Amino acid sequence: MTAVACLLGFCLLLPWLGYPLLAFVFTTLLLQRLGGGRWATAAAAGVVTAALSHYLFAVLLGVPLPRGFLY
Amino acid sequence: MGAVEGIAYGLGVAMAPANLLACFVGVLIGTIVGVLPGIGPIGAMALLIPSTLALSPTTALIMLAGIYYGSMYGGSTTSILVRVPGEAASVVTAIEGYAMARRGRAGAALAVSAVGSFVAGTLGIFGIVLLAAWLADQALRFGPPEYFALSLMGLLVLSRLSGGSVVTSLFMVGAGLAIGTVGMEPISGVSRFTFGWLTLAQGIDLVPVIMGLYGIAEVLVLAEQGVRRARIATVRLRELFPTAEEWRRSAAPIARGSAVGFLAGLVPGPAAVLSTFISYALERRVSKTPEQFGHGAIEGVAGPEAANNGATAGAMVPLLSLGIPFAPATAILLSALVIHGVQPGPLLMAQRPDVFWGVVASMYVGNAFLLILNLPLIGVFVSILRLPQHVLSTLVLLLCLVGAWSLNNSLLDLWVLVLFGLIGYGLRKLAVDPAPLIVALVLGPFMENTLRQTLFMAHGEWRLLVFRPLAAALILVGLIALIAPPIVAALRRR
Repeated sequence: MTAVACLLGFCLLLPWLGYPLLAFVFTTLLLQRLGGGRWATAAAAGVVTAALSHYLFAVLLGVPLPRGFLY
Repeated sequence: MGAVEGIAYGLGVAMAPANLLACFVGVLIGTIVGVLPGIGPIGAMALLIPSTLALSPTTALIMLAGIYYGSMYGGSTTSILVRVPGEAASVVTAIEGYAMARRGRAGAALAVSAVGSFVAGTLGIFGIVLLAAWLADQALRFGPPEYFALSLMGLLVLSRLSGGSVVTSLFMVGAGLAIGTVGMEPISGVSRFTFGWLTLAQGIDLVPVIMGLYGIAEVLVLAEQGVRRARIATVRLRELFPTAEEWRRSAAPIARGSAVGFLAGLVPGPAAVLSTFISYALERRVSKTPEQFGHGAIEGVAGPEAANNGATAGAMVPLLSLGIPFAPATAILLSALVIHGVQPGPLLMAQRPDVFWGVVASMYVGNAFLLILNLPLIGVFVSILRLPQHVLSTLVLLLCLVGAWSLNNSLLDLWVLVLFGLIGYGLRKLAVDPAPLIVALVLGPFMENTLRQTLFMAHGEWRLLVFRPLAAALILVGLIALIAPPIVAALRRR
């Protein structure tokens, strides 16, 4: 259920929040709810994932990822 | 230039340091791209075309082609290990391959698929060399009626051969065709099923649909089952290699798959994907142990994996000898050729033998690279399995999302992805096979085009389809596939 909500949420919020922020939120939420660990661990993983994926896709592969209102 | 001289010349071209490097980079990227769900070879190829501008046309084509067939190797890896196909042509491998992985035979599945792909690629290259000129001639006889008949037959046969009931499969076919009609119709400019939304005018892209139906749906099913469910597919090192018996059982499927794939590649349409379905169905039919299918029959990995590589080789034939792309990937290769100032078409062999033979020979080199890359690296892929399930699921979801976005920068694709993820989840619950839907989705626009052309040719007379022998024969085959089995079964019962 959470996964569905996260997926729908991702689609809805992407233009507003932008990819990096949303990827962080998405990953953190999902990891915590699916894996049942501590929020801190999930959040840390979320940061790493968002950063890495942003680097991989936006920088290395040149895929324009939406930026949202932050920048 | 005869075949033997051509190969020798081509090998010389392919071994040039720049081309060798381009080949390696291409197949490496292809494998990675194949492993990652969402980013497909087509996207990667399209993204890399600008980077190849500084290279010679031969080098550029070698690298791009490497991505194409390399992705067939990589796609099978995630299919087997995680049951998320890296791309469409690995969907079938996920069925048997994942079942094998759950029994601890993941390494064997990976090895068989790598070797099968290699054999198919090599045989396919021989096929290209031997048949390019002759096949170009034959294919010229195909007109729109034949193409339409072929597509129709393909769908009917697929409905019959797919898992589940024929009626359900036909329903899936209908759904796929219907979905394919969404968007602005190119010839008349009429917008269909767009409900006034401009974004829908571009139609519904195939890739997010596939990613949703297979990738997201699988993750949702897993997520529902919760953390309790331990990752069963652990692989012990000593089980990395297939047993002698597994090799023996794979040999014939590999041969059949290579042939099926190559033949499928020659014909327009989603050759690689379709060939895997045909190969799988064929293996199930031919097998002496059909009850094993669905539970880890190695024939179901060997055949389709050989088929999809055979198909990439086969698809190169019309591209190189006719200048006509029959698959989206070869369409990209075609545009790369044009960008580099090479005139594609029947004269390519004569005018630019360096391009033709160089690319053909490099495919052999590339397949060799891939075999070397995939066998030792199996250990690397296996260790990915040790990641906890929720991590993998989350990553897969994220990658699917980014992948879908990377296609067109379109939010629509994301919605399609999620929507079809939900639909796929529902289908799984109902034990319905989504494969016919996908094939119909891909073939739909093509069929509509060819039907329109056919009717145009015949001034509105449907009978043209029946009057042309080849078209009629194809349609007959399709109808037989659909109607015959129940009739035969009924007759037997009497």
